[in-house]
Parts: sequence; structure tokens; C-alpha cells
Amino acid sequence: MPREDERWEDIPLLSNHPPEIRNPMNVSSVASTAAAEAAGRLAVPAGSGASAFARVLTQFLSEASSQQAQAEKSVTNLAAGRADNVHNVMLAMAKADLSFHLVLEIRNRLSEAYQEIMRMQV
Amino acid sequence: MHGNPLFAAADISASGLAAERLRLEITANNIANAFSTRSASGGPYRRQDVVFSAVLNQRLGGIRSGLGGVQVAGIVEDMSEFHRVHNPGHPDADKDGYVTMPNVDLPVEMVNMITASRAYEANLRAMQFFRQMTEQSYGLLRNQGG
Amino acid sequence: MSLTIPQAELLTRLLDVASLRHQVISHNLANVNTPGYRQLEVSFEDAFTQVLGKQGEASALRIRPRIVEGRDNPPRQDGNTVDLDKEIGNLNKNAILFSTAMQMLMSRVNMMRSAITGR
Repeated sequence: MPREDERWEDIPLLSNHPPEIRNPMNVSSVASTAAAEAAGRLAVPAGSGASAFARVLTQFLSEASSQQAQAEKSVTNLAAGRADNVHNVMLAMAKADLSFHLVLEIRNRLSEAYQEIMRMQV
Repeated sequence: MHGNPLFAAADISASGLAAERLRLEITANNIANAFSTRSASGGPYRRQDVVFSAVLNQRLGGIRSGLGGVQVAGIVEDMSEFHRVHNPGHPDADKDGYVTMPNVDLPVEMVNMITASRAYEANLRAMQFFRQMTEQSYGLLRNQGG
Repeated sequence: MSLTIPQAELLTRLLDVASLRHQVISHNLANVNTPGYRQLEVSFEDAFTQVLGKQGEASALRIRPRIVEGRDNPPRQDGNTVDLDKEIGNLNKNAILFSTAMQMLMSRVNMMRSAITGR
């Protein structure tokens, strides 16, 4: 969620864009590659707007990575007979799932925004 | 599988089911032998009882309770007096016409049977609830309408 | 500014408490006919409410549930203090507590999912 003073005005609102999943298990690599590509192609305006957005994006990426790592740890504990409760394991996986989807959607929006910009007649 | 903390509650309920089941069997055996004047060891049948004791595990920590349910400490013979009943026609009557009968009291056995039955049902309920609660957790990963 | 599910910590704590309580009730039921056995229960809500009122939610969330001896039931002749019917009642009530917390957590997770994926 952006802060009050930061808006994603250039990004079109949510639409039903089917996600392209290359390798769902490797969140950080998909997300960071896509984000890097998209960020590289977009014209970066001068000013604090772009770097603030980049900060937010990096935060989401690292959070998604750590959620993923935590989910993996839960599954290992489950397999090793160290898990105490099923609901904790399920919740960890649900959080990782949500983080992953969030990063995926961001990637898709960036992709759409890039395409939209490219279509503009200058 | 056994000893996995994920299923601690199920292990506890299972121990209860096993213990009460044994109690039902012992009680049924007492009832079946209520009038047996000739047992394997000679003399009238001597009533049996199960002795239960609570199980406490050392594995504590986190959300683990260290509770292990119940175990059967042993099956013991009831050493109370045999009943002497006046029944001169009985093949095992003594010279005074008295027969030494087993120390089984049918009303007592019936009460024990009902108690064990109810306890068995309750442990079963607990087991079922555990399964239900565990399966609800799966809903956290499932999409609703998606 | 991270992806947090609203009240997830509180709801998870409730689920942990309900799970522990189920174990304790199961243990009571397994020992309903054990001579001299003292009924156990889980103490959490009172301590939680107390700290919540004085220090707020963050401190209250650090309260852990404790297993204590029950004081409500008089001992039977064999010294056992478990009341079978009461305990079955507790079993049912606890299952409802668990279901409620779980439903709330599920609905929040699904809400987040919808918000993120737009579906």
C-alpha cells in the first residue's frame, strides 16, 4: 500500500489480467528479474517519485522472500515432526501465497504500464 | 506417527478409548462369571478391576502440554470376601448347605459398565472434534470462489 | 508498510489457546475414571483481559496460556474431580471458539487474496 503522499497514478487500475507464471516456487528470482526489466524499460522521471516507488517495491520483494523462506521452514518442521499445530503451518503458507501473488500483480501492472506507454503516439 | 506433537490430542483420546474399552471387557467378564463357583485356580471366581493412572510426558515447551492421557497400570483381583449363600441343592454346597459365591455384585458391575461406556463415547467425541478442527485449517489455503 | 493480515496475531493466539484447551479437555476425559485425578484447565482469558485493559493489545498478545488445576468441582469418592457432563460441555464450547477464530482468520486471508488478485 503506498503512503498518503505517493500515488501510483501512472499504473492502470486493477483489471483481470491472467498472470504469467514462469516458476512459481522461486518468488525472488521471478519478481526481481521482472521488476528489474520493467524498471529498466520505463522512462524514469527525475525526482523522488521513482525512487520512493523503487523502495516500496524492494520492500515487498524482500518480504515475499522471507515469507517464502518461513513457509519452507514450516513444511520442513512438519515433515520432521516438529510442528505443534496444523493451523500455524497453514497460515505460514497462506502468507507466503499472498506475498507471492502481490509481487506477481505488481509485476503485471508494471508490464501493462510499460506496454501502454509504448503504444502512445508521441 | 506416534509421539508427533501435531497429534498429541489424538494420542490422548486414543489412550482414553483403549483404557475404557479394556474396562468394559473386564466388567463384561465379571458379569459373565457372576455365578461361577469353579474357577481355573479352584474355588469361586474372584472379580477383577482395572487400575488407571494419568500419563504425563516430559516433553514440554512451546504449545506442548506434556499431557499423555491415561494408561492401564494393571489388572487386579478384588480381594474382598466371597458371598456365602444358602443353597443346599447346589452341587458345590458345603455340609451346612451354603455355597461360596463369587464376590461379584451385579448392580456395581452395571454401574461400571455404564460409566465406562459414557467415558468411551466422550473420548470418541473428543477425537472427532480434533479431526474436525484440524481439517478446518486447510481452508486457509483454499480460495473461496476463485 | 508490509503485507499484514489484520488481527492475524490475535486470531492465531486464540487458535493456539483453543488447541491447547482441547488437549487439556481430552486429557481430562481420558482420565475421567482415574482414581485421585485432578481436573485441569487452561487459564488465559482473564489474564489477557486484565493486561489488555491496563497496557493495551501489544502487551496482551505476549500473554501465554497456562495449564492450572480446576477449582470448581468437588472430588468424588475415588478422589477424581472430573465432571463428565461439564467436561463434554467444555469440549463443545471450545470447538466453537476454535471454529469462530478460524472462520475470522480465513475471511481476512481471503479478503487479502481478493484485494491482491482482483478476483
